[in-house]
Amino acid sequence: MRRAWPLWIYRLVIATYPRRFRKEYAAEMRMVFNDLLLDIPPRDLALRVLQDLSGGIHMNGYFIRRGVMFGCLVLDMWIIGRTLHPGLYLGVPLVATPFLLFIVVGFVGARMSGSFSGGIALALLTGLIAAASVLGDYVLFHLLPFHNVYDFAMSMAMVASFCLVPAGLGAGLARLTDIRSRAIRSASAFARAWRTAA
Amino acid sequence: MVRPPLLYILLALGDGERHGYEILKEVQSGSLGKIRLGPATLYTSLKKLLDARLIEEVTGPRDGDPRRRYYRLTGGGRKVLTEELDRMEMLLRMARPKHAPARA
Repeated sequence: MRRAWPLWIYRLVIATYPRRFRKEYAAEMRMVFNDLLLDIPPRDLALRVLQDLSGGIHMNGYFIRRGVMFGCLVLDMWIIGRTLHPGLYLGVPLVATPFLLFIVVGFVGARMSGSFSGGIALALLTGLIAAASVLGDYVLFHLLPFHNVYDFAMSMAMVASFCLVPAGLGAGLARLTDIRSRAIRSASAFARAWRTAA
Repeated sequence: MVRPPLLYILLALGDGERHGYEILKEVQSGSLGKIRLGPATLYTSLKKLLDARLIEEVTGPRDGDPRRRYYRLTGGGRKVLTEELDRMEMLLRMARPKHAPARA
């Protein structure tokens, strides 16, 4: 049976390519990905997509650099938080700052790529780099308040959803003008059709 | 000199028009599985070949999938492919006697 989630993930990957390239080839790329999904094992397909990403780094390099920059900003906040509050695990006073930052990340990603998925993809990349703080907490401060793998996975999922909400908000804001013009176009098309029918 | 993925794509289109996924499969089988293109690499390469006018987009066959884009070699593409194959053949002819394993 064909699963839908790899296609959704691949949409995020496609969002990292330049707008002009996507406009021309995104639909075809999705079709080829779909065919590959039916033909080869998922692990091979994941490897191919990773190879694709590394091969196309000259194309989506700007996008990746932005993700790295935002990720490093989050890491900076983590270092500041740790310095100011050495014992506190989450750096609670700083929680609002990454929230605002992820709104900016979503907004910038959506503006750069011209799609909502682009904002989410940039936020995921930023989050991935920011996740180095978990390792840093363990290595530098001997802090790892997880009792088992399940705890760890749940906490990471919570943090990821915490980051994706503001990112979605930012991406939505960036796409608002587009959504508004689409809504106006749809409404006027509906009105025209209504008048013709009447 | 044409880089291997591009050369394999030209080879895949040597015997007629194909769409993206057919090219991808042909490249994989033609290179005995050594070159496995992903969708982005495939379309980046196709764009390069289109820009160099070595291939062109054509309307697909009547029984083909209308959603897909089909590509075929241009005259220039066929010429480049022939030249590249001739160059390789010449290189092999020169290199074989020097590097062929000694036979008993």
